[in-house]
Amino acid sequence: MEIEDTFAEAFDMVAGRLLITAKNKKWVLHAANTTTGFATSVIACGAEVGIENLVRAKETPDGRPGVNILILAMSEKTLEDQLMRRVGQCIMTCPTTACFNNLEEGEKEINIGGKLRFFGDGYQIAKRIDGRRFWRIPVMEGEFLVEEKFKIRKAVGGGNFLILGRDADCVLEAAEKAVKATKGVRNVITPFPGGVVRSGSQVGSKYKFMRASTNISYCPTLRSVVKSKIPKGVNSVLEIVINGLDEESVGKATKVGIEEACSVDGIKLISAGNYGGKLGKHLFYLHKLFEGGR
Amino acid sequence: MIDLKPKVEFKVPVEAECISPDVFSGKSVEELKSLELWWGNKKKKLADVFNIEQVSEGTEEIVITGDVSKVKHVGAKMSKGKVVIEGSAGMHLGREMEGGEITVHGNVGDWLGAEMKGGLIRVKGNARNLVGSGYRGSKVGMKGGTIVIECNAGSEVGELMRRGTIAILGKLGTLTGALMTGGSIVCFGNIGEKAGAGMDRGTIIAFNRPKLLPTFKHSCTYNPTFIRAFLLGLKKYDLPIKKEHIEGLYDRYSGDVAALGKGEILVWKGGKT
Repeated sequence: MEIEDTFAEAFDMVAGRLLITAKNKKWVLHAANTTTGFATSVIACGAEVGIENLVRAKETPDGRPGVNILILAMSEKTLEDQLMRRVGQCIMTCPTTACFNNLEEGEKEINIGGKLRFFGDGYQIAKRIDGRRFWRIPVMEGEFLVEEKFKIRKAVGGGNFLILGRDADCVLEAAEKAVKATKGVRNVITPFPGGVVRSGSQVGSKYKFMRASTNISYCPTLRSVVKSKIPKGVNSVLEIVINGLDEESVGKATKVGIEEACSVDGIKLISAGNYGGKLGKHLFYLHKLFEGGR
Repeated sequence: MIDLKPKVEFKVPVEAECISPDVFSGKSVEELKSLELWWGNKKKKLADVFNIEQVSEGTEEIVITGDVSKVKHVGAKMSKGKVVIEGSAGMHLGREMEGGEITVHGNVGDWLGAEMKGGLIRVKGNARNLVGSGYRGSKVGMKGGTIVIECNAGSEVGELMRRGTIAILGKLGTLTGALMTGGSIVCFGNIGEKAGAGMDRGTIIAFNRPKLLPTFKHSCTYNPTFIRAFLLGLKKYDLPIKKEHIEGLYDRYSGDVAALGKGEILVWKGGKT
């Protein structure tokens, strides 16, 4: 098993952290799964969203179980738009939920609850709790409590590594283990289904109307017909994409993910996706992550 | 820290707006001695009425040792620092206060925290009428901050209140939250009649069932998520908030329908959701 001497190239994004609470874990996860739905890549989803961690009831502002969600977008405007849509359509609509800003420090604040309140048709109520302003919006089930402003900050998107292995089964097993390992790192999400990407993309296409297309260099079926980066004996490749609030967290998650992936029999190579350093300013050199030993 | 001890008997009302961390800040004891107050209709120096002693460095913490129940306007408009009264305090304590903290170990007179904008007032004893209210002729009362009364309070608590929180652990007189336009009043003891009279908006939380005006209509019974976060947030003030208060059901009465009618009285029913 080899870790290729290459780097993952990540880029600047903007992020917010939502804390969703609900009556119990079941409804917390209903809301979280809906909110993080269709949010794998900014290529077509508007935002990249994922569950960061579950939060115990005694640690939430309303004493109910909760979940932290990270949401990342390419601009503040897009982030605000996506937050409005997702809080309004995925959290407010979900029985028993409430939604809080859970980013302690941010460079800016965006108004979400303060706009969503108009859904209350004039019957919304403002409340200030510990210096934070909330809106109580009457809904058919009772009331939806949402914080007025959400903090946002610079973040890092597109951290990644590729797992190349003997067959699809062992690569999937390695990917699952890698994603599980990243769950132990705060401030990061893996926004793709189960945290894993099977259709990694390259920038551009032979078709002018396409912004991105399949990463032909890593498609096993094309190994003999394109300039492939797949070594002989590799029949499947999966990618783990890691987004985070800072470079340090993304690097840490990349490292623990690779470590776990390497533990699976049949894995031949760990690599990473980059664009020659032209796309993003955050470069994660795989070998540097392991300086000081694995 | 500055320690003030009354050195005369207060035979007439005294108006001492000068007793405030904002006024004391940066002054020497000699300068403090020459601050002026009203002794009835006469002007006197602070040193004529109080022994002034610098106990420790700084002048933004003031401790008044003794009964100053005839001394009005202490801490008026203060924006920082701390005032501790080791006895009872007079009317208008913390009037228009913007920040800082006032603690009273005894009772207080009328108009406590009237038109207050921020900060914290905590009274270990009783408070008289018009806590956090607006002055006659004003359109708005308390606009922010927190008042905690550990015993009973008089009538018209939170009258004209717009923002902020008042928590009363004992009984309340009549007309609690009359003419409110916002904010929250938490009542642990019994509430007198006509609570919420004329209120447009705002919240009165009652842990004992009050006799309500007919202009308050029952809307529903539920466990408001807001109550959970609100009461958990108030726990830092050592209030007797039980798990049942947080998780329990509340009857929501909307009113006063004789006014705008967007206010609410939430009456705790007990029990779990």
